[in-house]
Formats: sequence, C-alpha cells, structure tokens
Amino acid sequence: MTKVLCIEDDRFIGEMYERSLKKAGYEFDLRADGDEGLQAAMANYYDFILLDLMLPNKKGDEILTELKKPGTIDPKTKIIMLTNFQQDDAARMSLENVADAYLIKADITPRRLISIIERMS
Amino acid sequence: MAVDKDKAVETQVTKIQGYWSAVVGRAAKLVIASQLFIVLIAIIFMVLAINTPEDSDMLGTVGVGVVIALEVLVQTVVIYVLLSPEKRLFDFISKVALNQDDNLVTLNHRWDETSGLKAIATFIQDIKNTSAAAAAAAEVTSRPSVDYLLGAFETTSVGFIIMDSDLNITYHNSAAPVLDGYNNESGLDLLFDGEDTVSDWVKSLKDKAVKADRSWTRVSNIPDDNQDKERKYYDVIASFASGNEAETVLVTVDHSEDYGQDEDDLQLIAFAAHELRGPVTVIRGYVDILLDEMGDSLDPEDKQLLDRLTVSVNRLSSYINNILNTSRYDQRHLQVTLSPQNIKTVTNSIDDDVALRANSQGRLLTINVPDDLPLVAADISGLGEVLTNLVDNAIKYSREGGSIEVAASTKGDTVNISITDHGIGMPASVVNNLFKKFYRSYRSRGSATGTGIGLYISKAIVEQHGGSLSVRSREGEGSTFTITLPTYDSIKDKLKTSSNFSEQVVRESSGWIKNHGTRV
Repeated sequence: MTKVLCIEDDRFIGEMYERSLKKAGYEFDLRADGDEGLQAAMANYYDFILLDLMLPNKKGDEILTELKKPGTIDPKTKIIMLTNFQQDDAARMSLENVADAYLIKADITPRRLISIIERMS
Repeated sequence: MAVDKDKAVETQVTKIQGYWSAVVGRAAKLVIASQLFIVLIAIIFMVLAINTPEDSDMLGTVGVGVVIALEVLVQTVVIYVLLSPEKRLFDFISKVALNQDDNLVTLNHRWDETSGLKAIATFIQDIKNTSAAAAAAAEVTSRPSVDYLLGAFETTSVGFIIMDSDLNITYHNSAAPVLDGYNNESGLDLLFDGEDTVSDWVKSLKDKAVKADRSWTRVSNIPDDNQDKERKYYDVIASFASGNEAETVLVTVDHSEDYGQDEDDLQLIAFAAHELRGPVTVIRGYVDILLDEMGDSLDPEDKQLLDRLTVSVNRLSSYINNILNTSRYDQRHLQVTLSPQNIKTVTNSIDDDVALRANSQGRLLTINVPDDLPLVAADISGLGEVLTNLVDNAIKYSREGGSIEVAASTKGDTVNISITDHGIGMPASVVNNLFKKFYRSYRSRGSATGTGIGLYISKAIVEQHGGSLSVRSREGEGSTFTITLPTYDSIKDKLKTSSNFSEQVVRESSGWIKNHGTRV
C-alpha cells in the first residue's frame, strides 16, 4: 500500500486530502506542525511526502533541505511541495533542484492530486 | 496710463496736422518779404532814373536786369528755405531706417519744433521703435540662448532624451528616466512590453520613414532586484527625423500619481489574493469530494448546484491567478517553462473545466484540435490559463444558447489556436485598447464585471512563448481571438540555450512535476 505523509497546518486542507487519499486506498499520516512532520518523516518510510511551505515551528523549505540530506530518508521517497504562495523565481529554482514536484493547492483538486501521485509512482 | 498715452497721441496728431498751415504761413511770409524787397529795389531804380534823366535809359535797362536777376536769386533762396525742412525729414527717415541713433540731431531747429515737423519725426521714430521691440521679442522666442534652454529643461518635470542615429543618448535632462553610466539605448530606464520598444520602433523606421511620431502610455521604469526603487509610470512620446543629428527625440511625462494608484491597488489585491487561495482550495476540494462520492446518487438539480459551485470557484481561482500573474509579470517575475508539447495536451488540461463553465452558463462549446499538429514550445499551465481566459471572455460577450468554437490549425512555421464566439462583437475603437492593462470596454463597465487584466496577462503569457495574440471582431457578429505560436521545430535551437526551456520539468496546474525519464 502506498504510504503518504502530509505536513499541512490548515486542518480543512489536511483532512480533505486525508479523506480522498484514504478513500483511494492510500495509507495516510497527517501532521500539522513542522517539527512533528520532520520527525514523522524520519521515523517511518513514506512513498510520498506532501509538504506545505508555511508551517509552524519549521518551514517547509527547511524540512525539505533536512530530508534531502543523504542518509536521512529513503531516496525513493518523493517530495511534493504544496503551497498557495507563489515564489519568486530564485526561490522556485532552489526548490526545483531538490523537490520532486511543486503544486499550487488552489489549482488542484483532491482527485487531481491523486492522478498526479499515480503518474509519479 | 492709457489715457495719458491717448492724450500724447492726440497732441502729436494735432501738431502733425498743423504742419501744413505752418508751411503755408511760412511760404506766404517769405514770398511777401522777398517780393517787397524786389519791389523796393525796382522803386530805387525808378527814383534814380527820374532824378537822373540823362542816365534814365541805362538805369532802366540795368534796373530791369537787376530785378530779373534778383527775382531768380530770391525765388531760389525762398524755395530752398521752404524745402529745407523736408530735406531734414528725409535725412531723418533715412537715418532711422539705417538704425543710426543720432537721427534727431538734424531736427533741432526751432521751426521744426513749432511747425509739427518734429512731431512727424517722433511719430516715425515711435513706429520704428515699436516694430524693433517686437522683432527683438520675436528674436528671444525663436532663438533663445543655449543656457536659457538648458536651464528651462532642468527646471521642468518633463523628461527630454535626444538620441543620434546609433541610438546613443547625446542629451537628457535630469527629469528624463535614464540610468546612470549608460550612453546608449540600454540606458533608458523604461520597461516596454516585449518587442514594442523605442529601439525596435526606430529600427523598424530605418530606411523607410523620413519622419514619424508615436507614443506609449503607462510605461514603467525598470524595477531593481531588491524592490526598493520607487516605481514610476510615464507616457512617452517619440519623434524620429531620419538623418537629423538628433534623430530620435523622446519626451516623457511622469504620470506615476495617476497610474500608480491602480498599481498600488493591484499589489494590495495580489497580497490579498494569496490569502484567498486557502478558502478556494477548501471549497474546490470539498466540492470535488462531494461530486466524487455522491456523483451517481445526485439528482440532476443537486448535480447542477454542485456544478455551479465548481464553475464559480474555478472562475474565482482564475481571477486570483490572473491577478498574481499580472503582479509577477509587472515585477518581471513571471516566467514560463517551455517544453515541446502537443496543443491537444494543452486543451485536454482545461477542457473539463471550460466545458463545465460554458455548459453551466448555457453556451455550446466545441473544441476541435486535430491530432497531427506540429509540437509547440509551451508552458501547459500558462497556455491553459490563456485559453481559459479567452473562453471565459467568449462566454461573457455572447448570448445564452450561443456557440463557442475552439479550433487549431497550422500555417507555415506557426500553429494557430482560435477561440470564436458569435456574440455582441465590438467596434474597432474597443479592439485597439483591448489588451491594455485595466482596460474595460463601456460594456463591461456597465455590467461591472471584469478586472481589465485577463486579456492583458493572456497577451503577456503568449508573448513569453514567442507568440502573439490577436483579435478580429465585428460589432453584432462576434469575435475571434487567435493565439499564434511558433512550432517547436522552428525555435528549438534557440530554445535549448534559453533558461526558460526545460525537459526535466513538466508544468502542471501552476506548478511542476519532475519528469523522471519518461514523458508524462
């Protein structure tokens, strides 16, 4: 079963993905705090990590940097940045070098997210 | 003042009019006096002839001779004396004409004063002085000194930039938007749209036009990287005169206060738009979940409600993207990521959304894109937003039940995508302004819909693809918007060196996914 960790502090959004991904047969963990999210990511194996950028205690880009350090997590894990904040080019490029995808939350529906995850599997 | 002046003129005129009688009086006096003198001489001879009868014959002859001689002499003297004022007047006029300032010296005879001759001379002098003053004034206006001009240019808030035939800046005043340390066209601190720049315009005129003028509105200065430079907005007027040393002259008028307000509003809205995305994500997502989970069990009326919710939240999302894209474009932060794409992939990415938008608003949308079109270099999400904007526009300006066609075809090295409606169309005056920022036609102003940036940002995105967006319209018959894109093959060599090009990244709904070896 595909395992997904979602680090998202907006409960409405987090639980929205939780509901549709679980219905679609995914194993789904939700964390609403940056630090807790990082710990969860390091403690378990996940196929996908959905990572928000604006998070309490630890920002998404910091978590991304930590997770992508060699030996931290399984290199097979794919990290999808989920944000509603459009970065300027420099910030986007730096994410582009390490993340596997970068999606604007407002532009995708849960079904769309599932189809993207399926394409990336 | 005016009364004094009138009185002085009146006195002068009275004196001038008195000149004739003065001349007649003087002539009469001289003629009478000279004739009396001659008569006296004649009487003397007659008396001598009577007293000396022996010499009377001789005296008579001599007397007649003397009288005749005297008469000739006296008449000459009288005529000379009578005409001498006229001679002085003519001398005076000649001197005035030749600008010799000592001219009045010759009119200092007492008779000149009393007769009115001096009044005539003064009058002529006044006319001369007045016209000389007018000429001098005209001289100042038409040929001011260089210092005078430069001083004026430094005081004005209007910018002046003069460029030679190589587009080097040979002069600019301090109000002109010119970057320090540059003396060529790249020193212009003006941000033109795409290739519609002053230098492109001048280059297009070379060898073709002798003289030409044109203007640009709402041209901003170039923002710096850390955003702390004050944003300015200018109207720019350019005139070109081929072969002239100052071949191109630019005049810039700072309209920052007028235009800046809209821009400030936009920045504020852009800031707020980020916040709106949170609730939009939730509404869109939950409606999607409801449709997914209840879709089959919904009765048609409930399904319609959810569809309308979907359409509305999708439109809201498009508005937000237009605002954010415009804001990023204006800050020069909007970048497209181009990769070889089929037009069909682009239309497939939006067809569900636009079909729902059209159908729920009672329009019949058909999308007819052949499978065998050449590839184009496209940013799927950017181009998708453009198509969505154009279909939205077609919905807005057509009637319930009207049809909208999206079609694509190839022509030479380009692929054209057209969006046609059969709605209200628009007159040429509207077409000319259609792609301007914040432009809303009188129609959309009336219905208070539209932000005036949808077409502006669509054009910008298409131009970032190296393409163009055009429109053909007839009032009452409808409009066709056409996106023209270069084929991938025609630009691939240029693209591979461009930072916009990426084969590793696939754009997806305003974001991207890394392409891990296989084409998605």
